[in-house]
Amino acid sequence: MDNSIKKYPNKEEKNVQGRQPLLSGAVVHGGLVYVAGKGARGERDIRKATTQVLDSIEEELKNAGSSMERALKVTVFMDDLKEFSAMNEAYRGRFGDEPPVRSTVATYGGIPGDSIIEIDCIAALD
Amino acid sequence: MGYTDQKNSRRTAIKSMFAAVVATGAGMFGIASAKSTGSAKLEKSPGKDTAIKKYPDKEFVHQGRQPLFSGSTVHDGFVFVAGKGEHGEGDIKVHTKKVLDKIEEELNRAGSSMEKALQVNVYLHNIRDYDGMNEVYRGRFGDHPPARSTVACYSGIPGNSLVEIDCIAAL
Repeated sequence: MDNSIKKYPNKEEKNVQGRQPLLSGAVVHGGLVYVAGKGARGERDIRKATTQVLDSIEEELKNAGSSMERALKVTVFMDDLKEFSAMNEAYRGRFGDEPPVRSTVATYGGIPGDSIIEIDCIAALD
Repeated sequence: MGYTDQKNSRRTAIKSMFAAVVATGAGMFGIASAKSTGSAKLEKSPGKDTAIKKYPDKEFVHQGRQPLFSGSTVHDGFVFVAGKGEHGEGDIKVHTKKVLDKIEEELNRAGSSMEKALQVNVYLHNIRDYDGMNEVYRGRFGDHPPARSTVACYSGIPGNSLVEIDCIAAL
């Protein structure tokens, strides 16, 4: 059994000497990669924000040796459910013809980092 | 079913390994009949099962477009079940029962069961439904239920569902 854990640093948090990071960008263990919840700071257009967040997820997945097509489980946290359809427009197709399972909720004012959407992901390694 | 077909040839060889891993896991979760084989050994390669199986969502109409999500995904002994909601009439008890029925159906379809669920997230429309949800929830996953996280997200559940539940389980 491979018990090793590999952690990819979060590139979005400023590196301050002598301070521990809050979170990793992605963590790999047992053939799975866990991608941190990604946001889009300051972007007020939900389609653009969704695309930007999914681009961040894709980058983490590739960096860790996986891909959008190998994503298994996604959680979407939205600021406002009114934008559900617009979010779906930008989301559809990004994970290929056989997308991962997904859970979506809105958390009204509950997403940190001035983002209107946050998405995390679990995927299988190649 | 790209990945499934591609990697089908590997599946048979891996099945016995799966069984051993599941048995070891089950021991940890207190399922009495499960016994660790002790000899099971997972190696990165060759023989590491990288196959992914995705069961299509049956509830929503995708109108010829790419679907937004699958009903469940299976990989390396795990089943990931989509967040399920209930979009019909009824109170929290009705919704919770129907949502758990949907979860159970997905788990069974993927070759798992409620008793093999490992981790569950419950999203409530309103925290005042907590007790009602629990009443229906209790016992549905057997005597040794999965880990659970519950939060309320006021009006934040799509499709007017009073509760949304997702789940990770062992095969």
